[in-house]
Amino acid sequence: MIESNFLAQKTSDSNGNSIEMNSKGQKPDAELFHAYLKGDVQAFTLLFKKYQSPIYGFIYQMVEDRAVANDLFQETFFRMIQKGAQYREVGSFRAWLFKLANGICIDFLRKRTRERKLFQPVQTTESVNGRHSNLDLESSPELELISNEETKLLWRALRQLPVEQRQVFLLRLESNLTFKEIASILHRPLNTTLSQMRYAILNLRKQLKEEV
Amino acid sequence: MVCTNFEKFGILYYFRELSSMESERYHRHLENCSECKDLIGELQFLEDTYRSEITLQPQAEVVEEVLFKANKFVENKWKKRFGFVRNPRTSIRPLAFGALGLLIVMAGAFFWFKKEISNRQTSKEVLTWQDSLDDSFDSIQLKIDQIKYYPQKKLLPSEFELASDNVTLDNRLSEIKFAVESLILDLESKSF
Repeated sequence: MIESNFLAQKTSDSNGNSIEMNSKGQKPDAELFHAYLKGDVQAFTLLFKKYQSPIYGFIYQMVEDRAVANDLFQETFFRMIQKGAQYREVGSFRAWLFKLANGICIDFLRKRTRERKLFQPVQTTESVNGRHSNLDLESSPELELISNEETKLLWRALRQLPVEQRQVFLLRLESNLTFKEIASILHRPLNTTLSQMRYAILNLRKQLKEEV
Repeated sequence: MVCTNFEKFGILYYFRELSSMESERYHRHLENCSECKDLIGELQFLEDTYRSEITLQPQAEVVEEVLFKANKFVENKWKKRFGFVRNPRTSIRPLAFGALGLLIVMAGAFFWFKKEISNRQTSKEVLTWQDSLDDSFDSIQLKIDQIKYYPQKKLLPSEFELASDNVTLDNRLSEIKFAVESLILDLESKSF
């Protein structure tokens, strides 16, 4: 069973919140993070509360498995703590954190693809580019909890997207990073990133139309 | 066929990442391009649908675990730096080494200081002894001179002294002998 805290009603606190918080005069993320590294645990709690939902959302949509998403979510924050000393305020803190999360997800997806190729060559549900069969998607318990049919369809369609397109789409919607920042995180040119976003939109539209 | 402007400008326009001039230009393009208009609408629909219903949240245990480890990490970090002050397991070794080092430094400083003071005292003593030795030599020289010039009846202040004191030559010679002997004893007793 899925606990009630897994799915919380959406309010306006996913992306707009950070901008609102900063405009209210709260400390910027980098400052909070440095405060934490100096020993202020309260600063970490603030950062964690702010990012737990978008980071988890991104990871979950990337790996499509709740248990794995929880593990990778934990790992992202542990790595953030461990690599704290390496953090330089060149880009935004948000971009740095999502870069860590993205790296962890990609490592996991590569590993999973390799393992599936090795051990289940015939029954594989994920091809090299990350597409899934419908069989795998139907078994997802999270989808059953979504009442809105369109959202359900969108989630299904998202899982059918190639990893590169899904990455760009999710990073833009979950992290609220600019495309320039996303391109920098993914080490791709801006035009390639925009092109992948366009393909993601077109593919999602196609998938949704097919499903309907 | 999709309008090429959508990829270049449309997506950035929707997410408000274009400059005001570019945004205005694309806005004008949008009025005449039904394709771009459709795609912008599509993007709006996708975003609204994606954000419409739920927010994904990690498990409560996971949240607790992360917060606990974050707390622990900071504690450990400070313990590593200053733990030897209060941690009984790690305190013995660094404290012992620290105390030993301090002791060695203090002993070194003490002996160096002592030696320095002793050197200064010795040089002061040597100077004083040199002065007294000079006096002794002068006195012996005077006595020898008295003996040497007395028979020749030369005018020396000591000659007068010698005559008035009724000091015999033998006495004077024994005085010189005594002065020389004490000088030798003095020299033998000094060791620097």
